[in-house]
Amino acid sequence: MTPAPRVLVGMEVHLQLATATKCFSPSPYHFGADPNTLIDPVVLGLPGALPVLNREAVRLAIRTGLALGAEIAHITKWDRKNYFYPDLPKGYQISQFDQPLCEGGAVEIDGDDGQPKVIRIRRAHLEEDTGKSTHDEGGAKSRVDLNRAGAPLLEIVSEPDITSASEAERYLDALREIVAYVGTSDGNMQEGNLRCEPNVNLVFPNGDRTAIVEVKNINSVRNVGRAIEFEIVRQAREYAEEGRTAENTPRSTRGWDDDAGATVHQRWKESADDYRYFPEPDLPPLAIERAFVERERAELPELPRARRARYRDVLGLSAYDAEVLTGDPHLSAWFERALGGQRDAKTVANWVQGELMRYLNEHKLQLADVALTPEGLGELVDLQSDGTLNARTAKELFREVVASGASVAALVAERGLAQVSDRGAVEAAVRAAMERQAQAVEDFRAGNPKARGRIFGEAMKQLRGQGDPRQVDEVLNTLLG
Amino acid sequence: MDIDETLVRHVARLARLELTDGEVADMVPQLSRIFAHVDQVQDLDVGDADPATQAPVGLETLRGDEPGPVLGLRDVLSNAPDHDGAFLVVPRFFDDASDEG
Repeated sequence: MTPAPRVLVGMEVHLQLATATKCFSPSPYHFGADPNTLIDPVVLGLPGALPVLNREAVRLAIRTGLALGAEIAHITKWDRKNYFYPDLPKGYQISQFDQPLCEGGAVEIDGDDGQPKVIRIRRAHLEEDTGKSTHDEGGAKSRVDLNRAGAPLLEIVSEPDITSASEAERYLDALREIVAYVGTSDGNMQEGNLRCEPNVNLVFPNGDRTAIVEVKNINSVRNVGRAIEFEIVRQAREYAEEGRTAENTPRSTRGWDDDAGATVHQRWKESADDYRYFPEPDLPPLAIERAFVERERAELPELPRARRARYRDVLGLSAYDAEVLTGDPHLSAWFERALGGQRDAKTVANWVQGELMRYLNEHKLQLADVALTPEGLGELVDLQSDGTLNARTAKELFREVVASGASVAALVAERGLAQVSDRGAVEAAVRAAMERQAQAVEDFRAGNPKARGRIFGEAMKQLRGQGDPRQVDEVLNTLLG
Repeated sequence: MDIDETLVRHVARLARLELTDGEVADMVPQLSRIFAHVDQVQDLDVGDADPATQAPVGLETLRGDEPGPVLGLRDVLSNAPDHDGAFLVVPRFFDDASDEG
């Protein structure tokens, strides 16, 4: 039995930046267009076509880097990475070799021990995406769509600080959350605007280590975890049974096969030198003024982990509530507007996570589809907490205004929905209820406490549901004796 | 730079060129002469200038993110040896795949 190895995972994440056009040409790019319709001469690498850098791609890359706590380069430059691949029409990719835009930084996650854990970022550089190819099952041809070629990618490379599959999943979730908050990428793995390649190897207590394996073609966060789990088992077995280590086995690339739930060998790695990187002669180096960087830094929103901590520590919400409400920046922004700075956070959180989420789930809607404004919910909360509305009426009104967006205060005034808290009116209603439910009054006085519920219900009915239940209860106690 | 047959074969493989043994043997002296020629640049006295390919430019010189024209599908496909509908078609590749990372 081989003793348990230490697992080392480094992540390479390719993040497609949310620009309207490509990195080095004004060709538009968006997901889901008809094949080969978002192409211009630069994308095809036609003779005489020259790349021109997109300022917005640089800005979004800097913004992402700042959100990760990276250092932004004073001077950054472009390099050609040479290789032949049908989805790379020029025969090289414009990338960054030795002077990346961002260096250093970190993503904080919850480690497997539940404590905060820092995953260091080595670097992040801007480069162009490749096209997309599909391989017919068993066929002799591959089909290529070059729409994606040239779209701006930020490649974010972590240090191998991740030590399990579940930490890798949490790292990706954290990264996705950060880019969603700073608005630099859609971060959607299904649509390929966030792609992740874990680099996995094992270190045994005797110092032996397995060769690093890079896993490609993974399309969900969960599958990143599954692929790493598979590699841990596979590499440990090859070490135990065949004595395979980094000494006698080259690094390799494997592909994730979702149906088989396994990684499949694709190729042995060429060494980095074989890409024959050299400075891109068609693009000058870029100088980035500090004033620009500081302006971008000042515009960063509160980031998800900081916000979660504030919800717990300052607003007094439970860890669970804080987690749910900060999980989506739109939901979080909605909640904060409904909170309006002074309402009770727990009450507003209950409305958002209860009635609002139930409504969204029931009707399969997005937050943006909701007619009710956060301020409208705030109004409803105020009317309930000052006693104007009882809980039941408030919920009924919510169901109405969430779809219509109508003003709660106006509806209350129009329909006379305000809770009846006039003592005289409540007493009259309770007396009327006791008359109508004379049998129940008799039963109650004869020692059947359950009969009281019928009188209470009748009293609420007399008040058309707008009585304050506590007050009705109190009056009923007095009159029943 | 020392050019030998191993290096020529390595570069030929990266460039996906099939060279015969005779061609490899011919290439060694030819490439050596080309490199010797280019190496003369090393003799230039450039003082203490920083090594740089070009002078850097500022962000203000970059292109705004406004979409420009795209090529029609017919033009895109016109240089392709083969296509299937709107897709370019190439011989199936995988095993020889290079790194796109």
